[in-house]
Amino acid sequence: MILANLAKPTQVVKSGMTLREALDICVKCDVPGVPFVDDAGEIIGRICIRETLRKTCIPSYVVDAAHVLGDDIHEVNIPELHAVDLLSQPVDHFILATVITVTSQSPVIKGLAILEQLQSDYLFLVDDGDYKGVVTHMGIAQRLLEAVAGDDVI
Amino acid sequence: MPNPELALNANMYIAGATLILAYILIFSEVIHRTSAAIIGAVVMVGVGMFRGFYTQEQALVAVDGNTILLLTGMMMIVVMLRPTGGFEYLAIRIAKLSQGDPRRLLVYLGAAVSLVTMFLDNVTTVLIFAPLTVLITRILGINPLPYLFAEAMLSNIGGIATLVGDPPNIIIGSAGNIDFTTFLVHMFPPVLVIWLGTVVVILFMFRSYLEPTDKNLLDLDESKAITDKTGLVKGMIALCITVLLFFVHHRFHFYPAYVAFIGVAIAAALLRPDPEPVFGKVEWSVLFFFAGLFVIVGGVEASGLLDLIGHRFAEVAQDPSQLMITGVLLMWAAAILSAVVDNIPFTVTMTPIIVGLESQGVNITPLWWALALGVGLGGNGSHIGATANVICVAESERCGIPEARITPLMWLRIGMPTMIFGLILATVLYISFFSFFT
Repeated sequence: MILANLAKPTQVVKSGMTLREALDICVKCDVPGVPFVDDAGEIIGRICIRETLRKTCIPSYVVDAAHVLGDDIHEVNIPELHAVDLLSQPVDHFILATVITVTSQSPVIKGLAILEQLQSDYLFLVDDGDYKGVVTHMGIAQRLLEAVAGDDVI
Repeated sequence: MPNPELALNANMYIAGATLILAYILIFSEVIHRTSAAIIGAVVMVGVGMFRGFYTQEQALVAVDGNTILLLTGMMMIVVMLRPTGGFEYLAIRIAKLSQGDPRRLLVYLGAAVSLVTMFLDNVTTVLIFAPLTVLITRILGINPLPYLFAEAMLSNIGGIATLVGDPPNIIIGSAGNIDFTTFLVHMFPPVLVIWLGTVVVILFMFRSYLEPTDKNLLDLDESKAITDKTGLVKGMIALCITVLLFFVHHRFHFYPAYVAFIGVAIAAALLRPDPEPVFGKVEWSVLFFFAGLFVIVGGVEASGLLDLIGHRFAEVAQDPSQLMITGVLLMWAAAILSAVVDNIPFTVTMTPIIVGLESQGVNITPLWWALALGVGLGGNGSHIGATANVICVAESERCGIPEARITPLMWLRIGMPTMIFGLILATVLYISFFSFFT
């Protein structure tokens, strides 16, 4: 099984878009992150739901004590209060520079190994600079189930 | 009468220059201080061998094994204790006892941090308490700024009270052959007075931040803080035995370092940790920093320069009526230098000078206490005066709350008067009870 069969095609994010538009792409395509491209269409970064939420909604001192938090902590931070301001901000402020890419002909095991090594939930398929889509753990698991159910040759 | 044989010579100039250059490299932070100390040590041994005043064997002997191993042992005990969640449990429990009252919260958290740092590494203590303090204060709707200040300053003061509370104390205790109990008996009373006085000063300086609020519910579950109950119990058994042994180590002629490793051995036997993470989390850079400093100062000592300096001091300190003034001046000089630069190099440099005074008939006992008080209190004077300060400043920036951000100027405005107040208290106590300190 190669990764080409498992990629979810998505739109890409560009400078000038808002965070709302970027997250909208992620949610509609059901992926944790999408690529950020420059004017020439080359991938130069990524937008990641988890990192965006971490940076904007979760103070570090809350993360450190997450296991002892009760349900009645209202003063620490409330993402809903910040949502309107946050989502209208330019996406450029939230771009991560590190990008994980493999070719679409790479085998699944290579993709899984890279995801594991870099502790990531997704990677981008890129063939000769041409973006093909996002591969996630969920996508791999889904394809495995489909393959077994349909008795496909993997 | 000056000793005619003790005059500045070329070796002293070279050793002194090497020391000064090494310290400039350390304090300038052009490179990491540990790297600077290692470079300085290598250069000192090199020039010493070339000039014939310092050998590699002397350099090895100069490294105080008791200090290095005591630090290592206590670090390993903390590393084994930390994952159990005991520190976090303590912080939350203490905070809940305050029932949401801002002033009580500050005093209780400050007391907790001070007590812990009397026996355990204050860097780790503050590293754990600071983020929890920010969370606790945010839940209560109050500004964490005074609490971060208080924890840093009070942990510095608390650490002065015991032989193991502070790296300078370990160095002083080792050089002066002072046992744990003697250290505690002489330092705890003045530290207690200074601590109380500092709390009053902090409560006054931050009075506008500490007005009562209507929030007193601290919705944190401290029982969930403990991630390994059995491990915590076992770790505490090892720690308690270690502390008890510290009280009596002199009776058994045990070095404090040996006591620390008895604790490590007990903790290792009970907890059976994977050694890789335990050894991995020991702060080797700190230990090598110390080792480098010992080698550098050992070279200066071998050149005879410290002996010469000691003789000049002895001319004053030999007179019993001048000994008290010498102690006071040493305390203040130590404090001011510790506020500006790292207190460890100053302590390492002063200890052989003070030891040398003893051979010239000076009662050096009060000088040890003056040095311990000075380097300990001086840490509060600036944001870089102590590592605990650096941690709290970093936490104030990391928490992302603009009104909680501690700037260097703010620290100077708060910390310097607090330090001077503490020093004045210490000086009054030192003079008033000078016979006790002799």
